[in-house]
Amino acid sequence: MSAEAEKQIRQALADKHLQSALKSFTALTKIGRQMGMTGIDFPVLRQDLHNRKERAIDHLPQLIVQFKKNACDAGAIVFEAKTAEEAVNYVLKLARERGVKNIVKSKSMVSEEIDLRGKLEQVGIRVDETDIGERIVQLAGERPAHIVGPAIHKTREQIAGLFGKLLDREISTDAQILLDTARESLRDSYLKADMGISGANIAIADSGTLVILTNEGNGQMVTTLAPIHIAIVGIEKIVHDFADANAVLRLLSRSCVGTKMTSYVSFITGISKVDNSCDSFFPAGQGPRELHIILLDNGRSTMRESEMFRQALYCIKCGSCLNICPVFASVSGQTYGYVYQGGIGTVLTAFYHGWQLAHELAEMCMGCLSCRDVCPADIDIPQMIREVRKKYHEEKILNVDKTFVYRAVLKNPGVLNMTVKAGRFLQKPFVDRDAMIRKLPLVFGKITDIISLPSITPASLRDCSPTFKSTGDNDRSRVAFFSGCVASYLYTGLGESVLQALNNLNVIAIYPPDQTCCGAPVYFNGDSKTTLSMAVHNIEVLLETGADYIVTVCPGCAVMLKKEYLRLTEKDKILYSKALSVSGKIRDFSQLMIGHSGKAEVSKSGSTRVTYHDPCHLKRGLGIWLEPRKLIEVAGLELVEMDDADACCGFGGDSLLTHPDLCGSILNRKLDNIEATGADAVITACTACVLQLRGGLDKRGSKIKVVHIADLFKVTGHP
Amino acid sequence: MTKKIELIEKFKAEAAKAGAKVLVAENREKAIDHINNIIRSKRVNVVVKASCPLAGSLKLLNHLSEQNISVCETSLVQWAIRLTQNKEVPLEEVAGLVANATGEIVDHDPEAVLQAAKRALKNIYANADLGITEADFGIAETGTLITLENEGNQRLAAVLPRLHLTIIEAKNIVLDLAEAAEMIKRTAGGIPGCRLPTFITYLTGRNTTADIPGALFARAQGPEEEYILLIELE
Repeated sequence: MSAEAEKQIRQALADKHLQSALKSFTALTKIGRQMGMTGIDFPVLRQDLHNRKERAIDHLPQLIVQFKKNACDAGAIVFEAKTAEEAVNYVLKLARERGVKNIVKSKSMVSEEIDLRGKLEQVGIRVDETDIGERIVQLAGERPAHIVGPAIHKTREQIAGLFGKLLDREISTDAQILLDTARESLRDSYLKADMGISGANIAIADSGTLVILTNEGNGQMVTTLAPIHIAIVGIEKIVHDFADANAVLRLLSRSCVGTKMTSYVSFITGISKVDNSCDSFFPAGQGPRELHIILLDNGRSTMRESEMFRQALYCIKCGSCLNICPVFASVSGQTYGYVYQGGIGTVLTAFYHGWQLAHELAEMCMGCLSCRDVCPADIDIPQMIREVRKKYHEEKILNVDKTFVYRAVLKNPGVLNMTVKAGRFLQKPFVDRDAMIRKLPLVFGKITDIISLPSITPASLRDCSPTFKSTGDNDRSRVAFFSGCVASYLYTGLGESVLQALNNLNVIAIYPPDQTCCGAPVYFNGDSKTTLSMAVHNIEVLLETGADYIVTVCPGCAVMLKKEYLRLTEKDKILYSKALSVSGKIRDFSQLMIGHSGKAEVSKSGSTRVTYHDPCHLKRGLGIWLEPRKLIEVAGLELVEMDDADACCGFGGDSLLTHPDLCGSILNRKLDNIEATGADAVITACTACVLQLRGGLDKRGSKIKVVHIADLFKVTGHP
Repeated sequence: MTKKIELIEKFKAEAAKAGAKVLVAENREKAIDHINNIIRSKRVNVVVKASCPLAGSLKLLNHLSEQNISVCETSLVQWAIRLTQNKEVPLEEVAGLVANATGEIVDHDPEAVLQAAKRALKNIYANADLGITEADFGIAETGTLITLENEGNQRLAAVLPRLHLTIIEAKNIVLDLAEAAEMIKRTAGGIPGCRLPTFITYLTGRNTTADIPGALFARAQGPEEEYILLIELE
């Protein structure tokens, strides 16, 4: 994490205009999402789109040839640009040869990618951005904050200021007046332009057609009025046919703004002509006299070669992954992005602009999995972000302290225990009377500024685990408890609750003392090699117990054990079959209990009105969200749902250490939503979320209790 | 039959939801009434039209010139014919007429005449109060209008004037994107790989933007209103 990036985050969080704009933006996109997803079978449509894009990318070399031939037959000129430089030079040369002085441009991320406007302005050509959002960003001298809404980070006051400066007069902040001003100030530019530049959302190979979508109508004018039209198209936009294009159209507008269709969808095939032209002396119609299509590679072919990153080429640039991203909601795409923003932007940045830049973005990801849920092309963005971290990790060396901790400590249960013991001693001066740590020295102070931390308990769960090696007849099912680090060292009481609850279920509860960290913190930092050794260790330890089920209280651990261990071991047949066996046994605590809820004894806590926070990895990682709610009902508690119950709490693995301010901002939104319910307690089902929420509420001096769902089953009298 | 009625009802509802004003006419008189209403209520003085065969056969616009409303044909051929007052004239003469119409010096060269004509027409579109076009198909599921053309005047008449009216015949409404694609292919010749028209425009509702906070679904850069005149002849 560079100091510069950290500074940018702090600035973004302190920027009142930005924060106010982001708040309206996220409220708006939430409604848009609901609207857009109404009346369609999203899983079916996105599978269809995924399959079609997959097929198109598989056949890309042939499709390029086909597209080129058909577009040329229809009168277009097609240029294949390998690099950004080749594309820019083509445009500069053409502009020079045709004596172009004024250009109108519709929004195109590809042109941002190659900094086309900047290069044209350098040679003295006037370029007017015509998308109103892009126009605002141009006037502000900034880069777009969002793939679809470049100026979503600006307030009306700021926009009025920018247009006021342009037109040298006072402009009202009334929304419709601002729009009228923007429209009127652009009209002349269209009429006098000698060149129009656009991107394309889709290119259809079997007819040589470009498909261009705009809501404002500017795209219609940019592509028709000027004598020359240049369309810059990433090669990944090429699909086979109309049916493929329809699959994109079905989801694009619904995913980005929530409307069923974009206002204008233009299919452009070649250059215009006059019907029955033999009767007329007009050599062409009223469209541009020349259509140049630049097919841009700029790293896309390399991406296509990569098994891991190929999927990123399926992206239809709808921006839905940004709309849902908690990091984006805190700092916008100008901080969480280079040219392309957010999660998908991280991957695109790696290939188009370099791995160093991409890695800084990847580090900001909270790993909440929200983007994977909403992607209309069903791209596994979180997995690719992990791959960016991994690739960077393999090539460069991570932060030395972090690497040491991961390699030497976490993977070895003995060393881990000793380290924790040392920590137990070292923490002493900082532990308050209620066992919370509210202020730490040095770099750790950044964390305790955001949340209060639990102290390491006097004895770890491992130390007291022999008590729970229950014996009994062999026909009862055996349930092993994988506690995870937080329950092992910080919330041992919770661990004991789980074991008690299991005992009450009339199963044989086993606590394998040799279990170590699941590896999630290491894995998410991209160190797959160390993670694998941890996986191997845990797989052996867990299988040795002969357990029928393995219960977890931290969904982060559960996802590792159930899914990621499979991915890590897939190259080793024997290991993989063992991992598969472990995977099949994993049960989240609430999942296990709901099957036995009739027999479980629920302790009555003081609170009756509670709210529930969905842990990211439980809801999106394992698809479990109903079970905990049912358990709350069984417990006889009144559940008041909070807004965005499934939004990330901002824990995000070691993000607290790397990006404390960012985590704090995400946490604050969560805490506001919790407090707004008026509940006495917030229940959740993840030890890390408990840590984060408890620490945050303590900082606020709130009386709201944070309860892990397993603690609802605490036997009366037990600590 | 009922299925067709459902389709039409769906089209109307979706187009309205997307921000268009849908006007229904069962006969010529009703259609003229709707047009007259727009002309009057929106103070329309200058109309541009592009390829309106249905309006032509039903004589929907003939009354406009009687009311001193200027109606301009926008296809290059039609526009030139107006200039030449329907006479066959050589290129040189057309060049002269275009020069007169635009106040520019125009070479006796088809390219130069084309460029001058385009420049003249651009301003005509931009200064028109109302653009009238006809859609080839409509999509019920999304309330979308589809226009197929080679020349480009339809898309300009649809986006540059202050108001836009699309005429569509109810029988041309299809269910969804897939059906529309079939119809387009059939119109284009039905042969695989057959050349599509230069411009196919899908217009849904009215132009809008979310770029200015607080002005959601406000007018962006196209017409202030999108009218759809749906002709449902018995």
